[in-house]
Amino acid sequence: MTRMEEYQELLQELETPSDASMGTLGRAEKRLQKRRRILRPAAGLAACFALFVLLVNFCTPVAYACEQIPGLRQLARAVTFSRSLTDAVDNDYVQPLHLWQKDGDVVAIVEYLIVDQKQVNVFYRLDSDVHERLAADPQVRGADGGSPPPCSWSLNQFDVKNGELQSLTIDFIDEDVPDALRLRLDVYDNAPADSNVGDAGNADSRVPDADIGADASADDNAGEADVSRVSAEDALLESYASTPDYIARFDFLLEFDPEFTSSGRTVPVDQTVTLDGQSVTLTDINIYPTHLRLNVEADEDNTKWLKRLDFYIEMDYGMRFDPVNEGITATSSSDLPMMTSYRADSSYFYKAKHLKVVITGAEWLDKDMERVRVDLASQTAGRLPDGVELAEATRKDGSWILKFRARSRRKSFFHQLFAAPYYDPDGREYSLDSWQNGLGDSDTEEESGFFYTSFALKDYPYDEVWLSPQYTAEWTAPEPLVVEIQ
Amino acid sequence: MNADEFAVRVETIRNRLYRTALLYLGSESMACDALDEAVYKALKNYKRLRQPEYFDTWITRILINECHNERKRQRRFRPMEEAPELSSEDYDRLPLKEAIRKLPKELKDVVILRYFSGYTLAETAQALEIPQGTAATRQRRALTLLRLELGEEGSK
Repeated sequence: MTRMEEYQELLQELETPSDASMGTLGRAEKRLQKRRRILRPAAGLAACFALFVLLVNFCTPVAYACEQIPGLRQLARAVTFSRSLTDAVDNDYVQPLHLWQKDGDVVAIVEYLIVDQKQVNVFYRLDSDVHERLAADPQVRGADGGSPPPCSWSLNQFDVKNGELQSLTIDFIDEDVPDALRLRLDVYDNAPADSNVGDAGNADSRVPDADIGADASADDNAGEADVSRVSAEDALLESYASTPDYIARFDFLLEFDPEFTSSGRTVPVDQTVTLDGQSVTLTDINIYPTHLRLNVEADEDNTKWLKRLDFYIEMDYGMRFDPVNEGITATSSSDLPMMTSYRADSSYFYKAKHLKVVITGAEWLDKDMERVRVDLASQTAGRLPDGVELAEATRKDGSWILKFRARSRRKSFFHQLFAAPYYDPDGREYSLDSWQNGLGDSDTEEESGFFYTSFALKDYPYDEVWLSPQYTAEWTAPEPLVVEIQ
Repeated sequence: MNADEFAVRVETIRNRLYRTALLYLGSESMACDALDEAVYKALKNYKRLRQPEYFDTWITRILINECHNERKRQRRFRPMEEAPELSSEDYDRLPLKEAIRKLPKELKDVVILRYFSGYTLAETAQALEIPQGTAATRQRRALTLLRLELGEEGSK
């Protein structure tokens, strides 16, 4: 048989359709649906409790050469909340570990790390034959167990079943990830107490119920609505419940391979654009495997602070990388109320030949609106963010409960109205510990498209308060503004 | 591009993708796995593809990456399977299918896309993100090693 005959025969062989390939689209769709089922609850929780989980500190890891990664499918399921981490797993950018410890009836296993120059993601499991639903409070410290380095960390999932892979993210803003960190997990049993299941004011519930406001307003029965409302207020006042009873404690030394902790690269941009009459300079882009940072500076003559930049990164073939919407989304490099570094999904694994930033809008805070006065006694407020009004101010047990009504930016989406600091009439600063968001009664046209945010000014004797608005207004670019960077 | 259009485009190109994967990997099951993974990744990301006219080369590039990933995974399990580089005479002695698989990666990419998956030279260059001249050079080199006498635009 000649080479050409072989060629024709091979072509015919390849033309034979394969039954196995026929269902490929259906399999992909099923897989994606499954992924979304996992993603939705996590995204919902993150939206409701954005402030709740961030703690400030520092930490360490252990790096092993990345050979083969068993259980990669489980890891893939555990990173669905992040496109960048999903890409990292797809590209085997994972350090497998198997650090195992047992304390009493509880076992903790640290199985994988995804580490780069600025971020550590730790994947671990908790399990027990005795306790039904384990949860952990993490603490990160230096490798020597001493004071923690400057980092923040947050859990990526809540209410995870025993034995399932879960993760936490340790973020370094200015500093780089060190060679090693120590992770402590204080474990408690998070199973709901039988007698208090469904009680919004349950002190065992460490995360405030996000729908308390909705429960109260949606209830047709006036008497029951009053009961719910009391519970909601109690929950606000008790949202920082006492420390749980820890049943186990684990201490893992995590050591990182220097190859992973030096994996970032910077692309200079240095281009100034005018957005809504304000001058903003895009200085550079840092591309790490776990995320991308777009860094900006603003002209000091601007009349507004830039609070959010709506943008995406586009590369070859029109591939888009959108801003991250969970965990840390933007950071400030100073005490100014302006965000100077914005995070997006990373293009690290795509080896882009061309990159551009496409700006579609922004959120601004007028410089003369950094604080707004609320008269609690008369239930009136000065200028509030666009679409926001004071719904009520209620006195309870020496505290004030404030409730604001805000126009939703999209269906069932809550956005942050105020920053944490607030001030009394003498200018003393306090900090909001938490707040609760809930939908209004969507059955009525009047309530459709709005949500409510409630928070407590705990042990607050004054009749006025100065709040720190998160924004004044959103702005949408008339045409997307394209900045070519590579 | 919406979901319906995506489904139509995938169904249109599915056989061609499968052929490509089969030739790369030499096993139906591995080819199906690579195809499944590529279609899944495309499904996850097609809304980010702002130039639908590049859909075919875009999904082909995803598939090729998956095929390479699959081969890397196989090598981890069977590291001894890696063969040393072959001489021209060695290629001549091998059956065509085997000879193609033994080609250096950059030549194999071009010859599979050009002569078995039905892409033009321009499409092949686009899918592999290389200049068309480079694709043409690799094509000539691959055909020489395989002792195949196919025209510039080859067979589909």
